[in-house]
Amino acid sequence: MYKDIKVLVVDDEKIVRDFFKRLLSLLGMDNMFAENGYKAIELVKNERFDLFFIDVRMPGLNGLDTYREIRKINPEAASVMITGYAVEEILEQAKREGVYSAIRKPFDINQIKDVIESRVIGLMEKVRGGEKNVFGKRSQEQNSYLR
Amino acid sequence: MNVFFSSGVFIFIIILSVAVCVRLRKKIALSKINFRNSTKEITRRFQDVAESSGEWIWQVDACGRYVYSNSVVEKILGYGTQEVIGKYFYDYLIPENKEEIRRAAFEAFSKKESFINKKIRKDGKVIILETNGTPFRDVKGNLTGYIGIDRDITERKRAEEELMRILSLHDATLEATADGILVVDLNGRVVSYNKKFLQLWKIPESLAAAREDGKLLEYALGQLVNPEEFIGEVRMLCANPEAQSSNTLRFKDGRIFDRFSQTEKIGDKIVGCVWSFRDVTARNKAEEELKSAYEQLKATQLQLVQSAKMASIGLLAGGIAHEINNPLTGVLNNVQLIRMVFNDKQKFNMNDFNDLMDSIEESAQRCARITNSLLNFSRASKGVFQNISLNDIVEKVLLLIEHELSLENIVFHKKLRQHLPPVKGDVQLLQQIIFDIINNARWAIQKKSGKQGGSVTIETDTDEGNNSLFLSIADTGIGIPKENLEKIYEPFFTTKSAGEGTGLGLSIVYNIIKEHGGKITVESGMDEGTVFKIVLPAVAAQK
Repeated sequence: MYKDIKVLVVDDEKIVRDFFKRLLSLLGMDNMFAENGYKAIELVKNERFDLFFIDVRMPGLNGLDTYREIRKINPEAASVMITGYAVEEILEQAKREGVYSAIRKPFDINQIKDVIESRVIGLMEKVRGGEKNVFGKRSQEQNSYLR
Repeated sequence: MNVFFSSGVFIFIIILSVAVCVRLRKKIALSKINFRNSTKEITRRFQDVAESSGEWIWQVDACGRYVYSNSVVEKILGYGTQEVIGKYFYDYLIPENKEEIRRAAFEAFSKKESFINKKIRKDGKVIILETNGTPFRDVKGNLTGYIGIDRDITERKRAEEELMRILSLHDATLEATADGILVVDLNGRVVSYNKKFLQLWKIPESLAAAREDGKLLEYALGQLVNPEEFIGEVRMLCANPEAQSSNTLRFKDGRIFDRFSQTEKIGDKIVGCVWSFRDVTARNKAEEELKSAYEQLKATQLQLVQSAKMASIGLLAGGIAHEINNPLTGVLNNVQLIRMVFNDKQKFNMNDFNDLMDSIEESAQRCARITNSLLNFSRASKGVFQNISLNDIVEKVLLLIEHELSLENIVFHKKLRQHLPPVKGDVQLLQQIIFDIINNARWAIQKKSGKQGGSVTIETDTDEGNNSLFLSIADTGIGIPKENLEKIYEPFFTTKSAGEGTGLGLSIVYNIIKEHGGKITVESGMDEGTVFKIVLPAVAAQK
């Protein structure tokens, strides 16, 4: 079921991007990466993603601003804020603005898996409810799971 | 007949008597002439003698009117002999005490005593004379006048007065000085001392007045902590009278004196020694207090540096946590990933596995580097100077701060000259100055460009040959107005608002650089950015 989800990871830290690449590939998920907010926005303009992992502290555009820009283009996507340092006010603000979840570094691999799973379940429920074009990857075709 | 005879005898006697009388008269007249002649002679001789004398010799009548004066009067009074004759001697006295002197003069003449008086010369100058006079009587013993001598003692009097003035000045000086002064002769006998000397040494007046040097010395020595040392000094000075010496005397009652001695000379001849004693108890105490205050200040400054560093760490906490948590993620998650693969019994690509291991190792090393830098930075300075690499310090500070500043879009440009000679310094203190200057740069950039950020250029190189190194930190911030450039190193001077800065950063920087024997210069202007240049002496290469 993970195969139907398309994920974008935005983090300036290569170690973190590399880890996500390995994990998401192992899970068989479609994944893309951006090292900063501006590049992420460019990608979002061209493609639809189901899930975002966004680092809060980044040079240039910070995580929260990146999230705001992405949501303008891709409102139904879920964003998970990841942060190496808990700036409570920023996380609170992010929650108020509707982020899907927030995870602190260093995180457990299961936290990532859990949030992915919960997102997948949420999307599936939408499909069951008859909603169309629920999965970003399958927007143009039927998703494999439903078939 | 008898009558006739008688008459004849009588007449004879008469004739004889007349003859005798005539003869006598002649003789008397002759002797009168002789007498007159001899008096004139005496007067003439007296006048000759008087003229040849260097003193003013005169004769006055009983009323004090000059009847004779030798020509010396002209030298003394400026008046000629003829001008003086007929004048009263008191005509020339100064008016202030004319009557008094006139009366005293006659009394002195009668007693054949001398007296001092002031007369006015023809040219108006006042002169001081010593007058000696003696009564002059005729044969019957009647007073006919006085004869006497006047000596001009103006110069002598002036010299005496000058000497008195000097002596009294000397006395006044001796008494006015804050030091106790003792003058001893070559044999060590007390010649003179001032009251302060007695006060300082607590010597009773009676003991001082007794002038028994042995007792005085004994009394003085009894007060000293180390009398032998003092006796040694005294002996040394007696043996080497030319020596100038000083030392410190400690008293049993806790007082401390500075002692200083200098030879006393008349011309080239050493006649004794002047000892001066100064109570420096209060000064010593003040000096000690000052020293301890300075030590305390130094300790406080080190504490201040430490506090500033701790505050910096607080400021950096976010960045540092982020910096550590990223590689920690790399370690933790990659290990979990491996476990996940094994648990799922998935086939593992060996190349991927090696990549993973590399990534884990690199991440762990990065964590170690950051925690080391953090510990190094936060460690309190012990004031230990050692040979260190300036570039190394720059790199270590950047490791902590670079990422944090990159979040504010502040970019670092490093132009670090490789293979620089080391500098002698304290790692912690030098890290702090770099940190403080970068932190100011950060504030200035934010003030000017906000989120737009800017850049900080850090350069190291040799300066003035290889004798010193420089470190310059240039920013693209708001700059410092010219009028503030002189004040930036003053403690508590700041243009930041409350809570943004204490105004201590650059004053600490300045002191640290001074302690390292270096100097700091700044170039800046409003909206022009700021360049701080620090020059530190290089450790000479060992040959």
